[in-house]
Amino acid sequence: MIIFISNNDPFAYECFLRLQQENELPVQWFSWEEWIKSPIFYQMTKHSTNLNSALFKTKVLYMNPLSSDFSGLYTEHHDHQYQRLSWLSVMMWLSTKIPVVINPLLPEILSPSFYSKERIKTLAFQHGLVSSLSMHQRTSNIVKGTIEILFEDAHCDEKFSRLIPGCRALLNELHMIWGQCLFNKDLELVGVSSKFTRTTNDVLVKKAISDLKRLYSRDRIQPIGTLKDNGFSIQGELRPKLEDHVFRPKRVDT
Amino acid sequence: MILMVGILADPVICYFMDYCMDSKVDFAFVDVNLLGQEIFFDQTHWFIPNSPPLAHKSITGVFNRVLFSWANYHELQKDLLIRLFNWMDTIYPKVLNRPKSTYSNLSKPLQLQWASAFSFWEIPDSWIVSFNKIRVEDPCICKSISSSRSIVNNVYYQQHLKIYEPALVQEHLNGLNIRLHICDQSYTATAIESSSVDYRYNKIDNHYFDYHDLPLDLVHGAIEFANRIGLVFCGIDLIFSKGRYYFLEANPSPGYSYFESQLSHHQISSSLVNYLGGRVR
Repeated sequence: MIIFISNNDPFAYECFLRLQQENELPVQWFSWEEWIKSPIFYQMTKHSTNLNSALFKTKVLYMNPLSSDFSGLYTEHHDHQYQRLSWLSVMMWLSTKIPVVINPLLPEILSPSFYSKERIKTLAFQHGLVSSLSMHQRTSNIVKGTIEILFEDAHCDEKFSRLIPGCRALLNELHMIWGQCLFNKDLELVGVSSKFTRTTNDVLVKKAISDLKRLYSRDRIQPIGTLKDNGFSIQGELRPKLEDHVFRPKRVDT
Repeated sequence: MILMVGILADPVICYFMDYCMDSKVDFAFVDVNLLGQEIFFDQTHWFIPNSPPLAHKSITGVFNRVLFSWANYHELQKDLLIRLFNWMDTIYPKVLNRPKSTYSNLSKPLQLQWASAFSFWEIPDSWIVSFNKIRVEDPCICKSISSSRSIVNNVYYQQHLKIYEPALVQEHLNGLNIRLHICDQSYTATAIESSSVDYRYNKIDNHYFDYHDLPLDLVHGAIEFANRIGLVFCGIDLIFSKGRYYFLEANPSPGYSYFESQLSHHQISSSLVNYLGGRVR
């Protein structure tokens, strides 16, 4: 199963619709309103885990639980903070249980400094995406171009391509495996987003779908047959030489 | 110089300040309620009323007790707090604890999963449940799945429960509660005998005493566990039940003063001062 949980996310929704139309893979879309009504029942013990629930057959999960779409759900309730934290707890835990999560919710992300303007500006400066650490020296905040990073790939106009390594490094520091960097006319970074808010570019959607399919069907190691002949898995020149006495049986005194 | 960051309504920070005053250890206190009003800082100094400017480089360690929501703070206050978090997360050399390390406790299942990798303690059988009606056959408790505190005094047994928002259902363990405080390589174990399931809400007949029976491999393993999850200072809740030690959770901002004030020593406060590089005047 590939699960998308999001609101107001045209790019992700386009990916979902095309995957659904192709009808090759099981795929589901949840708004946050629907997701927080989801039944979950999961048994956790030291020695065994119950993976019967459909949720735990999920191989790819797309979500942005820190977005205003998610936080906005609880503003009307008197105990909204408690409910929000309960779901954040589940999403943090799911980030470690599902093989691919875009983007994983790691504990340190919740520190208010993690996505702060100051930190992002410092990281952007370190990675050559802005020319100054000053918050006020930017000539324009109008977005003139974007770089999209999807896993190992990057997409952008030619004139932004020299900034790809910096973007990749920045998104790595922000623990985003899927994200968008926004630039002004001077090719200075003006923002970062975990959603692809400014594009439903067809090439990019096709690339995203192809990546999602690859991640869905990828078993990193698969057995394909048993062996009948004899041999060594690791060739002799790659194995350390051990002294003979290591293998000599200990003498037993009688 | 130790920098303490928090609010005056927090009994833990007041207790630690009292200890430092009694021990003649230098410290400065930043009341975050006054941040942006009477207290300010820039790239080099703190500016605190009735004190000379305090250079960041003279601060040997920070005791961080900023635990609350600041939704109602004004913009300047929020901005300064976020910058303060940045200093505590990335710049000050020693912080108990760095904010970014405290959020593992927001997810109890995540902590239980991490703790289950260690063999010197057990984890209780636990169920993560939302939007389900369940039947509880064996005695179980039901508690908050996040860092939000919940009172865990009900034991459910052979009955139905309706669970809406995600919650953690756990086997009920009868036994001796143990709070293991770890600060860097130091530790203090306190046992709590109580007639209540949740001893925190029983102030009448709890009995606190130093606990010296923790196996050393468990203690060393617990220090390694705390280290791996980034908590230099933490309070690990254990239960000794059925001849085994069970891990319940690791608190990243433990209310240690509550335990220490029941005992006849100040081992925990002393280990905090040592770690934070506090100097006696």
